[in-house]
Order: sequence, then structure tokens, then C-alpha cells
Amino acid sequence: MTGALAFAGVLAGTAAWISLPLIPAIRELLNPRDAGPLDAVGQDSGDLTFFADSFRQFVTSGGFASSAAGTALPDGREVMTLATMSATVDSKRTGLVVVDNGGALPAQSNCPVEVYGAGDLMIGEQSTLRAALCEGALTLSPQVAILRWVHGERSLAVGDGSQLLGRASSRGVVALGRGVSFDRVLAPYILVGEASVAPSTLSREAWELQDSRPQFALARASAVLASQHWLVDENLVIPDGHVFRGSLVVRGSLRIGKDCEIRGSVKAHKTLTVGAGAVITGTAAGRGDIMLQEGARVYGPVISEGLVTLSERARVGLPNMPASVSAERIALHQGAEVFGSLSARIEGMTVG
Amino acid sequence: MIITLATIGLWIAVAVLAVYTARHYFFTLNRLFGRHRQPYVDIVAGEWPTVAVFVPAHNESAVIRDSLDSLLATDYPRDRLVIVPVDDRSSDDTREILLDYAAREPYRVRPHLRDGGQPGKAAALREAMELHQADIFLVFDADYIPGPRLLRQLAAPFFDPEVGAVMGRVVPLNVGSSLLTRLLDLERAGGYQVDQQARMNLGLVPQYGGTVGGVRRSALRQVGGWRVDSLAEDTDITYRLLMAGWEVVYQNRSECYEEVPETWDVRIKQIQRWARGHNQVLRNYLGRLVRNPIRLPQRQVIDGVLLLGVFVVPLVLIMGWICAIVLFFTGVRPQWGPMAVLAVSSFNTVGNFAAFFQVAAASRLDGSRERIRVLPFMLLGFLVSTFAVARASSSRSSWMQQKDVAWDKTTRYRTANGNGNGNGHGNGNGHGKAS
Amino acid sequence: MAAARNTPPGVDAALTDASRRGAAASAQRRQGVQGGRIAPHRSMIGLRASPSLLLDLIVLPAILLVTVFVLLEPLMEAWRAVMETLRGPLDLGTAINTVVVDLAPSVAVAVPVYNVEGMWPSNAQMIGSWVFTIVLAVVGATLRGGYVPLGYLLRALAIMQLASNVWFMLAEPPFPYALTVYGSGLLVTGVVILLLAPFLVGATFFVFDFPLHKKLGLSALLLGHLAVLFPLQATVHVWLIKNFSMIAMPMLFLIFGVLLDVFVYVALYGWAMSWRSGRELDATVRRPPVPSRRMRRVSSTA
Repeated sequence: MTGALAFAGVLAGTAAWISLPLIPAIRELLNPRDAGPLDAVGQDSGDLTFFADSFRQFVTSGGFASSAAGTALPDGREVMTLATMSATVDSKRTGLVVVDNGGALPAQSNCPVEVYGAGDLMIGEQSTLRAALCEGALTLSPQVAILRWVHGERSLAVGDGSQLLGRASSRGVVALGRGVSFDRVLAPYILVGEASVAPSTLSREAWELQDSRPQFALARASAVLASQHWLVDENLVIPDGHVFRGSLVVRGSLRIGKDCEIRGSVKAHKTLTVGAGAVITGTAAGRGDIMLQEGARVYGPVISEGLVTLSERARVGLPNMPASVSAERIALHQGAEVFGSLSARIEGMTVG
Repeated sequence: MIITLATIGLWIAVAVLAVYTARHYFFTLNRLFGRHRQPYVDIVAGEWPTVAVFVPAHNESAVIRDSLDSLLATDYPRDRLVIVPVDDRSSDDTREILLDYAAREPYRVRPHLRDGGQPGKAAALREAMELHQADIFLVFDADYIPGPRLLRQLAAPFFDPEVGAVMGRVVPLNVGSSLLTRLLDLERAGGYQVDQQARMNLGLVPQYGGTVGGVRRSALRQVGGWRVDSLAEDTDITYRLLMAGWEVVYQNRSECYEEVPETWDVRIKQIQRWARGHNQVLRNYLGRLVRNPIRLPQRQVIDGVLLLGVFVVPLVLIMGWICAIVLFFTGVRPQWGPMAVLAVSSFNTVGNFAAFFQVAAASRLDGSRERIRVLPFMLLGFLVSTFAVARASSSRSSWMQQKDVAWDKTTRYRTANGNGNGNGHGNGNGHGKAS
Repeated sequence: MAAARNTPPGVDAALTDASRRGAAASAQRRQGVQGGRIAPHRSMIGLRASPSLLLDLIVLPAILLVTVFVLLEPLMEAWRAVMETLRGPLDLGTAINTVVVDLAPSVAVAVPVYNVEGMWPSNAQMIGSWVFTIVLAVVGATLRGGYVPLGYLLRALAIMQLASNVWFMLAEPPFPYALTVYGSGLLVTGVVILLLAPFLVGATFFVFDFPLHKKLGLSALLLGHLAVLFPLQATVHVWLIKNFSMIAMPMLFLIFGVLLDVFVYVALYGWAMSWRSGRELDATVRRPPVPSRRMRRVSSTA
């Protein structure tokens, strides 16, 4: 064997060269910098008032709810009151704006920090707020932009042309004006227009079957998914005024006629149209768009991977049976009502 | 003759690997750039269905309290939730613990205690589920620790009348325990964050993993319930639901901790059990899936077939290696020069590289950076998995009908007094696989 | 949103208007109170395809490919110099030869090659190979605990070497491959890998939102490392085969050939993927895990 010693050197050098890229891996293994579990137990997902509740906890536990101007927050920034507030708030110096009951932020305020309203609160036109919590009735004048979240404990009235980016909620009523854009809204009662009827006055509707209505029978189902639960492979139309008992999954489009009554849930892979005055007692789901025509009602959630349109007086959920509308896009017409929540992953808008 | 066979075998292996490589790559690109499909995660209000949460347990005294405490702390409507720990012949004090919880929470914790009947997770679940009438059956392994909102998140998709089963994301808890746990953490990230979510995005076949998820009772009944002779009752039910017209969905946002195996022996045993069970499903349903009587979209059929084949791939890989060795010794030169040399000698690693890409992408999406550095050690993991799975996939039990399915336990690393060095007991299908 | 989608009048216009205004505010919206960036949950995050990304995926690898092409000739000279330097001390022939290989029509590369011959294994070498195989198998079978993967590797090597032993016991000379051809083949494969590497990096690394200098950084690291590795790897292989006979060739070719090069790439790739991108991929919130009783219990055992 010739050149063994020299070969040992070459071999060692080659091995070292190959090992060089392994140094970061070996270091991470011996001295872990990123070996903890992911933070899988999230508290905020699905709780649309989480930020508002956390903020209230912060304000009340820190005693900032009735602070005088100049009080310092834990991070060193100051609390500002309406009296000391300028039109544009500097978030580096100010960490919180506290407004007494009945106060109003002037028009065109620019407030990149949270606002706490101890009672009723009015936000002036064309203002931009990072977030606001109001313990009473909160009124957003036209053209107000909310960047993160807003909560009106008793009610939230949103002026025309406002933008609700993030979460908007109330434990009472949310009334949306015209041309309001939104992402996620939660309240026992959400309507487009002025809140003239308190939700408590609306009772749960009875949906007794009317024997006089003709029953709709499926001509052909591709599969029986379960008892009273069918899969249909093609487009389907349920004629006006019919009653259908059971749940339906339609691989094409589904059109539910005027004044029909579906005692179950429906899903369409393409478009789902719920005719004027029709009622679905369960869920309305669709991979495509869903249209609720005038006065149509869905008592369960409305789930779409496209656009959900609620026409005039269309309604989702019931006062004591809240339901979510969840879609890529949501369009609400005047008089549309939702008892529960709205969630538009791309954009939501009031129309008309 | 031998040369011809070896050549054909090699190129079949290269073709199979190429298909799976393309699949990994496509899924990763889809997860990175595609439309993110999570249609149910924002459903926060509705007439919530009644839910029964089943927790199969066999000698789980080390971990069962954590699991029950977490389930009792969830925000699911109290009047619509019942927790059913299923004790199957435990010889430790699991049963006493369950009875203690039942005494404290008689309306919400209703243990199902088994002293006889067919053993195995599927048999235990089948027996317990027949006694409950909840709309939705969720299943958690006894070592899983659900967060407070998880049950609502997992129940929400069932508002969709097409959804028959739901799967959430499994997140390893004991990441830093050993090299293996670090590798499994990466693998799980790739499997869920990328693979499962891409399937969901593309409308393919997300896999129900037997835990951190559940099934609709009416769907389960319609397809005949759990197969008690199945080693992978989760994969089995996925395919039966699919072929009955139901949809299986994955919720990336619905995360739950699990313990992953900390030693290679346990890991090998686990993955071999998965392989055998998965191959049984392949045997049982491949033909029917391809015939497609329910007229599933072609993309679902193709994905379903590829998913069924994942545990056969290591066999194909080893066949490819044998063919390559035979061709090497016979002196047959590849026809396309250097390109063919590359393909022949490195087809498995290049094939695997798409998996590295997937894993690295998943970890970055998770916000993890430094942990990706241990990526090269995954080659060792692949080597072990390849041989372990190949052995399982070539065994008779992979392809023959099972008569007796016993509890096949994955070791636990927590102990009831907080000391993690216990010998570990554990129950059945410690899943989290997402191929 | 097409009108054909059954949308009532005014809806499309209103939604588009909302999108525009929402986009204008989105930058502000993602801004934390104290200037930080608020990121979506990891289950929601993704990347955006952009024209610049397309450029990165096509143009950047093409530029790197051209660069490798341009540098091939000096690189071959460098390889020749390295091999010439090692040839004497390692006793690998009297001169370095040149093999001209056509990579593509009108594209050829002059690859240096050791001018040495590999021998059919002698009896002593056969016995040595059997002993080596048995040692690999026994050690591989006895490794336990954390060394199990190493045990699998050793057993795989043992199987590979076993196949060689059996073949050389049954076959007659000559061996189908000459060592000179094998040596040049290794380096030609290396050249092909250098030419393909930009596209592999492009497909697996350039797709992410790393800044340009980091994309070029990984490319340079990879190409530089492999460019140094290939002649050393070829030298080690040729020396081992020359001194231990052709019986060493199968394992070297199938296990310590391209597989090793891919391993190098995976290691560098894993490192590079841990770099900060400074963009979307760095944005995911990584809050510390919830400090629950269970978590503390588990972490205390680590």
C-alpha cells in the first residue's frame, strides 16, 4: 500500500471538508436554540371579543379607567384624556386615551393607540383609531377607520363609509351604515340600517311545517349519505313554495325557490340561491357564492368559499340561536340582519 | 433477462419516486403560494352539535389526568359535551382515576370500562360509541392536551352537511428530548403545515388521523362504523367516508399537543404499525377507489391512490436499489450519459430532497428558524424509516386480514408526579401521521 | 368578481372600493402600538408570488449557470493542479490525463483524470472484504439506543459490500469498469451537478423571500464547497480502489458518490433556511408557549 500516510491526510481533509456544512446542525443539536414546542394553546382564536376583554382587564386592573392626564403606563408612556388630546396622537409618548362618559373625539382625530370610553362615546368624522373599547354606546361617525378592533358594550353604531378592519363587537346591537367595510363582526344582533328594534323584542320563530305546502321529493340522488341526508350529482332546483325534509349536498348549483322551507342543511358546490322568503332551518354552505334573496332566512351558519350576499331583510340566525356568516366576501344590503357573527376573510361590505 | 428486469425495475422505481417527488414539491408550492382554504375556522356562533369526546386508554395513569383536565376546561357548551374515557383492561390505576373524575363530574365524564370483548383501539371505540347518541364523536389519545377552544374549532366544520370527518394539527410537545424528537417535530410540521393543508387547499384527501379530530355519528353509522380488524382504523374510515361521498377536512388552526416517540425502538414500532395498517387499507380499497362508483373528482382519486401507496414506496425504493446494484455489476451503462448516472445513483436522495424542501418550508411557516439546521440528520431518519417500513410492508400482516388486533402501545414519557423519566405506558394509535 | 356570479348590482363595485381602502390602511393595521409588526397566525401565513420572484426563479439560476460555464475551464485547471499535487504523494500514476466530455452539442469539458488501473481483488483482499463486511454487520446489529440510525447505516453498507463479495466470488475478470473511466466519471458527474445546482437552489431556496444577497450566498457556498469537494472525493475513491481493488468500487460509487454530495447540499440548505429573511417568513408570531402546569412539568424533565 503506497502513500498511506499521505492518503490518511487527504482522507481526513476530505472528511473535514464534508463535515464543515454540518457545523450549524451539530451546534443546534448540542446547544439547542430552537427546540421548544410551538405555542399551540392559543386563547384568542375564535373569540372575537378577546382583545376588548383583555384590554378592559388591563385598564381596570391597572386603575387607568379614571386616570388623570399624564399617568404613566407600565411601559412608561402616558395616559391622555380628551382635554389634553391633540388631533394626532404620538404613540411613542402616549399609550392610552381615556374618555369620560358622553365624550366625543373630534373629527379627523388620528389615534394610533387604544381609546377607552368609560361610558357612551362618539368618534368624530374621518377619524382613524387603532382600537376602541366603550363601556356604553359607541357611535362611529361617517368615514371613521378602525385599524384593529372596536367594542361597544351596549351598542355600536357605524357611520356610512366607515372601515372596520379587524374585529368589531358589541354585547348589544351593531348597526352598520351604508358603504361600511368590515372583516369580523360579533354581536347578538347585527343589522344594516338604524337599530330601531332591540333584539330582545325579537322572539324565536316557530317553523312548524305547513301541511298545505307540497313536499319536494328528490327524483334521483347519487348517494344516501345518511338517514335523511342525500348527495346529488347535478344542478338542482326546488320549486317555489315546497317543503323539503332532510339535508342535501349538491355537486352542482342549488336553487331554492321562493317561500320554500328546508328542514335541514344544504350545501352546493357551485352557487346556492335561497329564494325570497325561503327558510333553511340548518346550515347553508357553498364552495361558490351564496345568495339570500329578499326576506330569505337561514337559522344556522352560512359558510361560503366565495361571496355571500344578504339581500334586503334577509336574516341569518335567531335571537336565541346565534349563527355565523363566514365567507371570503360578504355583501349586506339594507335591512339585512344577522344574529351572531360576520367573518369576511377578504372583504365585507354594506351595500345600498 | 435479468438485465431487462433490472432495467425495468429501476426505471419503475425512478418513475414512482419522481411522482412522489413532484407531489411533495407541488404541495409545498401550493401551501406557500396557493389560496389558503380554511372555511370553517371563523364559525363562532351556531346551534352547536352535541359532542362526545372519546379518550381511549390502556394503562394511561401517567397522562390521563392532564388530558381530562384539559377537556373539562374547554369552552364547549357544557350541556352539549360529554367526555367518554374508554378504559380497556388497564392494569394500573387508570380506572380509579376515571371513576374519580366521573364522581366529580357525573354529567360530563362518563367512563366506559371494558373487561372483555375484542381488544384494540378500534374495538374499544366501536363498543363505546354504540352507547352514545351525540351528533359528533371526537377522539383524543390519552396523552393529548387540547386547548380551551379546540373542541369548538373541531366541531365547527360539521355544520357543513358534506363533512364526515375533521382532522386538526398535531404539535409535538417533547421537541427537545432527543435527536429523534427533533426530527419528528420537523416531520410533523411538514406533514401537517404543508401536506395536509395543501390537500385541503386543493380539495384532495386530507387524512383523518384518529386523534385531534372526529367523525359525524350519522356518517360513521352509514359506512358501517369502525372496523375492528383494522390496524389503522383512522385511515380506514377516511377512505370509507370518501368513497361514500363524505368530505374529510383538515383544520390547520386547530392545534393540539402530543408526545412523539423519544427512542428509535418506539419509533420503529410505531411506523411499522402505521405501515401495516395503511397497507391493509390499500388492499381493501384501492380497487374500489379506482373504479370510483361515486364519481369522485379525478384529482381526489389520484391523490387517494398516492396516499394509499406511501408505505409501499420504501419497498419500491429498495427494489430500485437492488436493480441499480444488479445493473452496476453487469456493467450496463445508462443510455443518457451523465444525466442518467445522476438519476440512477441519486434518485432516492433527490426524491427525498423534495421532502426536505417541504419540511423546511413548513418550519419557516411555523416561525421556526434554527431548528431547520438539524435537517441533514433527517437522512438518518429516512434511512431508518425506509428499512423499517419496507420490512413491515413486506410482511404478511400488511396484506392479510387481521383476526386479532391488540393494543399496540406507544411509550409515554410523562409521569403522574411530573417526572418525565417513567418507563412510559401508552395507548394505541399515537397518530399524527400525515403522509 | 364577475357579474355572471349572480351578484346584485352595486355589490362588485362596493366590494372593490372596500378592497382599495382596506389595502391603503393595511400597512398601518399591521403595525404594533410600539412599532412592531403584527403577524397573522402561522396557520394563515403564506407567500405572495410576484414578478421579482419569477425573475429569481428563472433569471438568477440562468446567470449562475452561465457563471459556472464560464468558470469551468479555470475550474478544470484548478482540479488538475490539485490532482497533480496529490498524485505524487499518493502514488496515483505518472501523470494526470485529460478526458474530453461532451456535455451538450458543441459544449465540451476537458476533465482531468488519474492514470491508474484498478485490479481484480486478490485472495487476501477478498478475505479482508469479508472481514470488513462482517464487522459492519455485527457492529451495525449491536448498536442500540440513540445509535440505532448508525446501526442501520452500517447494516446497509454491509449488505452493499456483501453483494460485492458475492459478485467477485462468482464472476470472472475483467470488471466492467476501468478505474480511469470511473475516476473521470466521478468528475464529470461533479461538473453536471455544478451545472444543475443553480436550478436545484432556485427551485428549493429562491422561492422563499430571502434577500438577493442571501440567495447568492447559498449558491456561492454550495458551488464553492462542491467545487473543492469533487477532486478530493475522486482522489479518495481512486486511491481506495487502487489499493483495495475493484471490490471497493460498488460501495464507493453507490453510497459515497452522489449521495454524499446531496448530503452536503442538505446540510448547507438546512443552514441557509435558518437565516432571517427579514420579510414575510420572519413575521409569524412565536409567542412563548403557554406556561401551564403541564408544560412546566414536561420542560422540567428535559
